[in-house]
Amino acid sequence: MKAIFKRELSSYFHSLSGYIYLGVFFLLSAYYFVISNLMVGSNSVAEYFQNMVTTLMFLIPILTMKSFAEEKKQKTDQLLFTLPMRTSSITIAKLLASYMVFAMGIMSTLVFIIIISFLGNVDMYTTIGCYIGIFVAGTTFITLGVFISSLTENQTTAAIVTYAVLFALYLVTYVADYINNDFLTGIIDAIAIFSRYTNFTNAIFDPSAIIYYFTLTFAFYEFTLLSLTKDKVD
Amino acid sequence: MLKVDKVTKCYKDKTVVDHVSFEIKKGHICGFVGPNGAGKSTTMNIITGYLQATSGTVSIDGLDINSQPMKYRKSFGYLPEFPPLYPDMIVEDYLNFVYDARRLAAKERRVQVDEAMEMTEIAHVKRRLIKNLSKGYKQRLGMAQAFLGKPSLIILDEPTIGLDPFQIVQVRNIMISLKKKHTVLLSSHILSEIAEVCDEIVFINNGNLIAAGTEKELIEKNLKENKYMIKVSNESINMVHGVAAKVSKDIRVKKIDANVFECSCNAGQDLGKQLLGTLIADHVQLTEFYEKTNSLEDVFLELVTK
Repeated sequence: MKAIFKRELSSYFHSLSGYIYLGVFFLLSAYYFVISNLMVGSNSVAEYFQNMVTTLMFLIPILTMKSFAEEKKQKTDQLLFTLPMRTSSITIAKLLASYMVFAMGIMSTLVFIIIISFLGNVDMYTTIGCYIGIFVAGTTFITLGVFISSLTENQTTAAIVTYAVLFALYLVTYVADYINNDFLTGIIDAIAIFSRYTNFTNAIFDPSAIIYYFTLTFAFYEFTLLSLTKDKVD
Repeated sequence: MLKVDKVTKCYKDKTVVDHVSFEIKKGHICGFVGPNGAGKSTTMNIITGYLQATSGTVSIDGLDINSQPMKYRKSFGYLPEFPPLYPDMIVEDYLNFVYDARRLAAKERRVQVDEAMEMTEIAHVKRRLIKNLSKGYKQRLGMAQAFLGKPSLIILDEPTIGLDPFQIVQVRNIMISLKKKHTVLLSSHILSEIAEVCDEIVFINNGNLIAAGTEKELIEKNLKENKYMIKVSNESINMVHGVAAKVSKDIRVKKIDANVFECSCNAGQDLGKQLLGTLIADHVQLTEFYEKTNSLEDVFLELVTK
């Protein structure tokens, strides 16, 4: 598993995808920092992190699109899935590599928190809550992206479908306001993954939201395994 | 060594591999031959665990693919039809990665990787990016990764496909060097290569195993004719049928070209000397006469057109 993890992590920086992801992420983070904090003289991190999570909707597909799709296209999956290694180990190694690059991007935003702290007091509990929220939400989005990548051998298709699914889940949050049916509202509430993140930015530490994100992450992980082990010896 | 027992693979309403069974003894090189779409790659994918068989079993040295999948996978090295290479890696790093991913002993990695590179003659390009390698080097790198850890069984799926003649010779020399030291399952369309390298051959067509044995056994069992090629001058073209009929009514004459004829008789009848003697005695102007040696190509054509 360690070999796959190292190879996957280094491939982000042998190709441009890692640099593109981190570069664009940092630039957008800087932009949101400027408009949410510097221009209005605010030391609140809530709006900054709220904007960040919608950014992930566009950027996570870049991170995950080649995860399994490229292996299928290059036929390197015939090496991977004939190694003396379970498909679960291979999947976890790839997920951890994606999480690591994602974490690098999130950690780079600490520089803005430090700058805000010079402008005024930073609410540490809200800040910590926002970081926890964005990490758990990010891992869910990444696992979804890796699952979609496992369904196709075209990176572009994987990226577009991941973006479309995340965008649909984002829009669903607003649709709920216009529905009066309890059953439909319940379903929408179950899939409104962006709305649960809002509690973190409102300084509400909601353990049920963390459980929700971890449950979804695990579900997408299991779907990935199902997709990959179909018709294989594992 | 390798035992494939009644392996079957079905997709919806189509059976692509149908109760295929064969064994390869330790230290033998077995050729796996069949036309395109015969089921060779599917069978090899089942042997490697990349595909699940619908029924049947595969085992290597008694290790069953389904009950001991991880131990089973450690016992073979595999070169698929398209070498599984990462273009963004350098050669040495790629081999180190495959070595580690195969969970082989870390302290022997350097020695094993160096040996695999020496064996496939790619050591001088070990710092080169894979995407910058020629097709021949990529194929040899694919073989090198299959040799890592000196597995009991090496599976090569069409290792010379798409290579130029010089590269084919290089790869073939590597395969010949494997003889006796390794057990190899090799699939190829190039029957001359199979004949040169393999101890035994398995023929597959339409998902069915249609013949198996050594080259000599296959020829004796499947080719039931002696054939003689005759080339005559223009003036003697019309004499050939008459001469053949004179020797024996069992000789069948087939015109191959304007001046070239193929005369065939049943394997038990060795009529070559009589035919040549009669041609000379009747003053047929012969430019060429030889007995056509039966080859694997002939066996292949005979079996797949049945």
